[in-house]
Amino acid sequence: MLTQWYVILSVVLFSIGVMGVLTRRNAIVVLLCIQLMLGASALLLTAFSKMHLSHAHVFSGEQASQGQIFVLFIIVIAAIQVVTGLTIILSFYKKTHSLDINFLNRLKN
Amino acid sequence: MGATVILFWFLAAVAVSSALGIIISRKQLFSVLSFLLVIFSLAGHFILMNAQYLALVDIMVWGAAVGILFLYAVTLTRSHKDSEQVKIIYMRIAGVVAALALMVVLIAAVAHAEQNEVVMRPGTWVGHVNRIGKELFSRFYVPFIISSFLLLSTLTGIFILNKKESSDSKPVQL
Repeated sequence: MLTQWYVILSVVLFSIGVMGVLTRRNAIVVLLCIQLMLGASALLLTAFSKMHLSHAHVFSGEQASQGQIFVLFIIVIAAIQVVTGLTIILSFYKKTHSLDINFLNRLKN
Repeated sequence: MGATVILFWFLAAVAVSSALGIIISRKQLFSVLSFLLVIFSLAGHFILMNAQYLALVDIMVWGAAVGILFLYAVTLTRSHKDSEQVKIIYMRIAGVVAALALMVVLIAAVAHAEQNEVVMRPGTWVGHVNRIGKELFSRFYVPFIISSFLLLSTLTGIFILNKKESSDSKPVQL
C-alpha cells in the first residue's frame, strides 16, 4: 500500500474533525471532533513508522518503532484531554443546563 | 488486487463515513457511537500495518475508556435542540468551506511527493510489544515517567475541580 493513501486518508479525517469543530455548537461533539483529529495524526505517525522500514539501510527497526511510541503518548494525551474537558463541560452543565459551546463566554461571571 | 488493498479501502470507507456521521447526526448518542466506529476502523488500520500493540491500546483506551466516558457524559446531559438552531447559517457554510480548503491544500501538498510503500518487513518486530516495551523503558523512559506524572496531576486536578463545584451550593446567576 502506498504511503500517500494513508496520508490522504488521515488528511480527510483531520479535515472532517476541523469541520466539526467549526460548525457544531454542542460541546461534547466538539470534543469528539478533537479526538478525531488526534486519531488521524496517530494513523499518520504509524504509517510513517512503517514507511521507514522500506529504507532498511538508513533506518533500523528501533528507529522505525519510535513513531509508534509517539502514538502511545498521543493516546495518553487524548485520555487526559477527554477527562479534563468532560469534567469542565459537566460542571458547567450543572450550572447553566446547556451544552452550547458559548457557555465559555459566561466564564467571566 | 490483494486482500490488503481491499481491506484498506473498506476500512477507509468505514472511517470516513462514520467520521461524517459524527458531525452530521443530530443526537449526541449517535455521534458517540460513530466515533466508536471510527476508533475501531483505526484499530483495523493498525492491525493492517502490523502494529498489534497500538491496535490493542487503541481499543482499550480510546474505544473502551474514552468511549465509556463520552457515553457517561451523554447520559448525564440533555441536548437542547433549539440551542443548535440559532446558529447563523453563514457561519456554518464558512466553517465547511474553510475545512474543505484545508483538505484541498494538504492533499495538493502531498499529491506530488515521493512515492513510498508501507512495508512490513518480517523479522524486525516493529509494532510488537517486545520492541515497543524495550524502547519505552530505555530511550523513552523519562517521557514515560513524565506522562505518568501528568496522569496523576490530572486526577488530582479533577478531584479539586469537583470538590470546589460541590462545595458552593448557591447557583451562579447568569
